Amino acid sequence: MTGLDLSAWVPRGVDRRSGAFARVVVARADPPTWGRARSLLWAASRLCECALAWGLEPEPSVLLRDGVIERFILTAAVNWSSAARRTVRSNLLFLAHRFFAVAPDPTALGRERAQEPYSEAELAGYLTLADAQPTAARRARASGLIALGAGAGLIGADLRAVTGNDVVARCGGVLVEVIGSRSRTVPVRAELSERALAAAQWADSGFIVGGAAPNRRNVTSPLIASLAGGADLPRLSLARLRSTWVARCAADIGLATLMAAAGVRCSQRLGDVVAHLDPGDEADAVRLLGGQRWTRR
Amino acid sequence: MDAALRLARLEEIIDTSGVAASLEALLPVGVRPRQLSVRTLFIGILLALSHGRPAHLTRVHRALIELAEGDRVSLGVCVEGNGRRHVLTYRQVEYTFALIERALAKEQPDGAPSDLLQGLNDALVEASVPAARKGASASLAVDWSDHESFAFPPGRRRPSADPEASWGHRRGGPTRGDRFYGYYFSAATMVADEGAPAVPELVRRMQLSTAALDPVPTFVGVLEHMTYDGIGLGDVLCDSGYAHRRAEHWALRVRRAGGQLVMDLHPHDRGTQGTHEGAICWNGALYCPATPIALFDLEPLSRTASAAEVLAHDARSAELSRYKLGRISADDADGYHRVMCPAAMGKVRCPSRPESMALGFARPQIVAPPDPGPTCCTQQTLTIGPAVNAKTAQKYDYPSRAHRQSYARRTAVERAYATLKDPASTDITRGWCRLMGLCANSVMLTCGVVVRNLRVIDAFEAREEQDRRRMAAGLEPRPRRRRRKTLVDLVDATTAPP
Repeated sequence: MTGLDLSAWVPRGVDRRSGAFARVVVARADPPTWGRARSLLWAASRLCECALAWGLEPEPSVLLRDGVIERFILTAAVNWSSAARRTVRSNLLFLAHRFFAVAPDPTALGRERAQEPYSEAELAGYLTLADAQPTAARRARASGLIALGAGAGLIGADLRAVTGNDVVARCGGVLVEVIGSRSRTVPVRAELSERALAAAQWADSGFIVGGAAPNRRNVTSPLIASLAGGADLPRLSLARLRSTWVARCAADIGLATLMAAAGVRCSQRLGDVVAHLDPGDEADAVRLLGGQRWTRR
Repeated sequence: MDAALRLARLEEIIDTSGVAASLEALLPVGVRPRQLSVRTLFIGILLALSHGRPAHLTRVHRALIELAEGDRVSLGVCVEGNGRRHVLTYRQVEYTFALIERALAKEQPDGAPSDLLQGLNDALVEASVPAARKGASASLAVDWSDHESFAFPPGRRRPSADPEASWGHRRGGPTRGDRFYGYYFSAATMVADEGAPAVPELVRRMQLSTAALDPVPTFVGVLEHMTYDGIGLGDVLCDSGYAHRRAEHWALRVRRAGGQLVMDLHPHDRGTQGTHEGAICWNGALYCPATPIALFDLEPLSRTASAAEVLAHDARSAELSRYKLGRISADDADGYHRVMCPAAMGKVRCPSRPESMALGFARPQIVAPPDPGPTCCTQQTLTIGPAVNAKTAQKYDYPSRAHRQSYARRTAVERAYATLKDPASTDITRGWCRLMGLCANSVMLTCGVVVRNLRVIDAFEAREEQDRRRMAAGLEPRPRRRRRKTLVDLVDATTAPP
């Protein structure tokens, strides 16, 4: 119990009843700081003001309902900024949750983070393991898996669908034509391009990572299991392979420098900005993303 | 206007109405033919009134004898016989008018006009509406006003010279102040249908009845007769004086005649008036039993409401309409119709109707529906008989923005009375007609309305012509002159640079 004295708060621009309602519900919520209390009071008083116009009784059991809160956000707060609407809705739902609290809060679950990229030594170890596979087929598939994962960032269905014919050398580098729902052309990083080409030549029109049908499942798991190299190398992770590719490309284009300069910590807004830019052609991708195998003199 | 044209126009109205011929047939026939025909007498009355003269028979006589010679002969004002030339005398005017009065009067006067008298009123007024304008609108604004008798009211020892007149009230309400001695003058004025172009505000029907009689049930018969004559009723706009009458005296009869009421509700009729199958009867409509009670506090806007108050009022009435049981059928021949639960119509979210909870959150949500739910909550639709909200049901929700805009047309009938009582034109205030009795006053007043209608048509057509000329010249139609000068206007006028 923080026991903030809410009577010091003076409602502005709202009815006296709205102020009284806000004090009651916020006192029930017991906010930890005065700043938090003030934003809760503001949200509750605005909700009540609007509900009075709708003819509703200024009672918490009537107003702190999902239907009333959502209607308030959809109709009365329609001209507010999105950020303000999100904040107010969160505050009101918080008050409603506190008011109607009959069960404990749901357990907070951790958010997924990007996997850690492989270091040079780890990647070299996996490549050595791939080259040490007992059969040519497994060698080619393991090598192709690592080349496409760490060299082109392919995972999941994108990776399983790549055939030997989809890996081509052009524009000064080696490109992988990805098909499927997110079809695109990805340059393979120069240090892994030879492996990718070799795996493609071996696979010809077949799938590089093995299997006979494009919708096949559980193809990569046996292959990855075969690359388990003892205590010093953990099980190969495709997500970490992709992270490796992303990290190397980001380093090449100076993404970290840009985000640090822009003060951006989350890439969501960056994605909104980039959506309006020209992604460039294959040659640009090869040049910028470290796919250039030789330089023209 | 040219005198000959004016005379021809008045003659056309009398001939079109057919009253002259039908009245002539009712009058006694003597050995010697009467010189002044009914037709000529009515033309004389209309002539006198159109010249802005009062409705005195002396003025009628003068208007006739001041006609051009050719017209006097053709109308029978001057006749030649036995080598002598005889010009109409005042006594002949008085005599013919008295004959008409007797023919139109009831054997036992009860204060209401006889069928013959009302028929004459209807025919004359209807004839003053040009054929091209008759179908322009079916909406009518209805009201009554006072028409004072010239006679003194009865005293302790002497009766009144006009025994058919009686005491009435100019204003209603609790004070019922400003009494007068005379008649109630009811009128139905044509107003534009909603969304339709403007029409001349012509008086379409009128009635004079003694002030001792309730003017509402007597006048509703006139409106019913309109439908018998093939004139369809559209919107009928009236004030709370009509709405407060018993349903069978006004609302039900207008609805039966095909009219759609747009009326102000009397304060006693406002508010919740019980329930029907669980639905709340409020201001002429049915509402969900879970409607927030605070919404029922809604009152009509005051005249001095600010723009912000108007907006808030409209928002509140719109909110209330979401809880209204919506009409899903028109009235059948017996006056029954069907309405549907607002949640079933998708206007609100109600836990009693789970399918409505899938609707968007922009709709109101019923927090606590009644448990157990009444019939209106358990059935999708209800059948509503004519007895439910019989007195107060009307075209739009009351009070709402749509109602306010539609009801604003009612002022046309006030303008009609204003033009009739305008001292600059047909001034029908006390003394305008010095004749006694319902028949005499009614005939004169009807002729006054006819003359007023002609004046309104002329002004309307002149304005239309002016607008056409302006549009041909690429100009906007001239707006109506603003008559209300505010304080700001006056201050601006005084502070404007010379």
